[in-house]
Amino acid sequence: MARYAPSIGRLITELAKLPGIGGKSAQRLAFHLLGQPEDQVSALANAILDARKTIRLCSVCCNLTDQDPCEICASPARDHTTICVVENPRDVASIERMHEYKGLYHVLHGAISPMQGVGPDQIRLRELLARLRQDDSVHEVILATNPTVEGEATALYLARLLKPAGILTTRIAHGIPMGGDLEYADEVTLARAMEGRREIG
Amino acid sequence: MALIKTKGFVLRAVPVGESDRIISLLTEAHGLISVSVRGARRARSPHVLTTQVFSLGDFELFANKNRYRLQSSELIEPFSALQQDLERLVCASHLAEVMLDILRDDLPQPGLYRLWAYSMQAISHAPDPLLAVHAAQLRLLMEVGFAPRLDSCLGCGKPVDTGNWRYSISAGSIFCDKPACGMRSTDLLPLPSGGLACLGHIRQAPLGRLFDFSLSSEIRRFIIAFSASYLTYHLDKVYTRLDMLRHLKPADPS
Repeated sequence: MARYAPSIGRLITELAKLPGIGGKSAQRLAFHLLGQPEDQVSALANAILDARKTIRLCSVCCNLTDQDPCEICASPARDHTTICVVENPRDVASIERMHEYKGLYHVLHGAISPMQGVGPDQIRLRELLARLRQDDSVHEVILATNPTVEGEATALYLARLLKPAGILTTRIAHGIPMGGDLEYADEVTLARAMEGRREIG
Repeated sequence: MALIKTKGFVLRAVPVGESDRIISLLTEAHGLISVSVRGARRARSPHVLTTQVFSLGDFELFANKNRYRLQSSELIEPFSALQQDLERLVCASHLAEVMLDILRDDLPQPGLYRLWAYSMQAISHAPDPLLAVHAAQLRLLMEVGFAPRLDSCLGCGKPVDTGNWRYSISAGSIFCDKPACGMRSTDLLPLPSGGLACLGHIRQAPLGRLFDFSLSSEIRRFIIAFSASYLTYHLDKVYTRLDMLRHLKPADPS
């Protein structure tokens, strides 16, 4: 870093702390920013600071929001009897992009992962249980955790937890992706797709 | 750059960047190797399942010095039972942590590869996965040179018989009931005869029969406690994964 002025060195060091950004990329980004007009750089800096200051967790669904409760939880147009449980806020954005789901969400901020030392207490499971205890209008909980070892284990753990409460608990379907080719699908995916088959026509 | 084909177990899968993974692959011929897999987390990746932790697969790798890159893969066994039972998943995660601490990178250790294979079967299907993981970890410690002396007293050399015996984890041995024997050991504890027999079985049984035993609840408690203390003493590390089992009893949401 001694090759640069101290302020450039500091900028590169800070950028290199971002996920997926190595030393070379940080250097490239730093010089790109230095080449921009001052107002654009200020806009970026302010956007980062504003987001950091205003974004917090929704007290209902634990999604990231700048108003509490979040827009989805506060909306009377949403179906308040269904909650879709996802691992992180990016998953909410993915499901919203589909424009098919009209219910509410609950964001766990992770999945149970014994390999990483993440147990049920380290994710937002307790908040979900408290929410279900307080709100008896919920009829269905959709478990939309990732189809990974950790996501499956979390879904199963949650399903067992919710069963005694008599709430319908469903798991998103697994199978062949649209446009995929059966020839290249593995046995587990094919078996899941067969299990989840449904009548057509 | 050479192309190698190998069968292997994924012991660890670490997400990297947007959609890549680095996996720690336990193979029979090459030992524990680190393999980078581009795009492994994308839904359409052919490696999405084969590179998940605990999967067993056939792998085709490009090897350059000690670096490996995945070319193609085929799933052999996903060990789905682990995903359906959090207790089994915790047990497998604990054993993987111990294995990763013991295995040396790029050094073939076929005995440990086979032990892992049998252990995964047992943890996935045995009625008592916690006992299976403790048996596996004791055998693992014995395989790498931490086998306790179980045939005679370390103090006087008396061969093991039906009398009262004691054990010391720090001495790595058993002691007869003579007061002079083991007097220097500060951690001497009574050894139940069933416990001694079970430890003997774990040390000597062929891998195919390692997990074929049943224990009374008293001896089961002894083996689990012995195994936990033995691991902590010899690897000088506190392992906490299994503590999670205490918190897994579901609370009633209603």
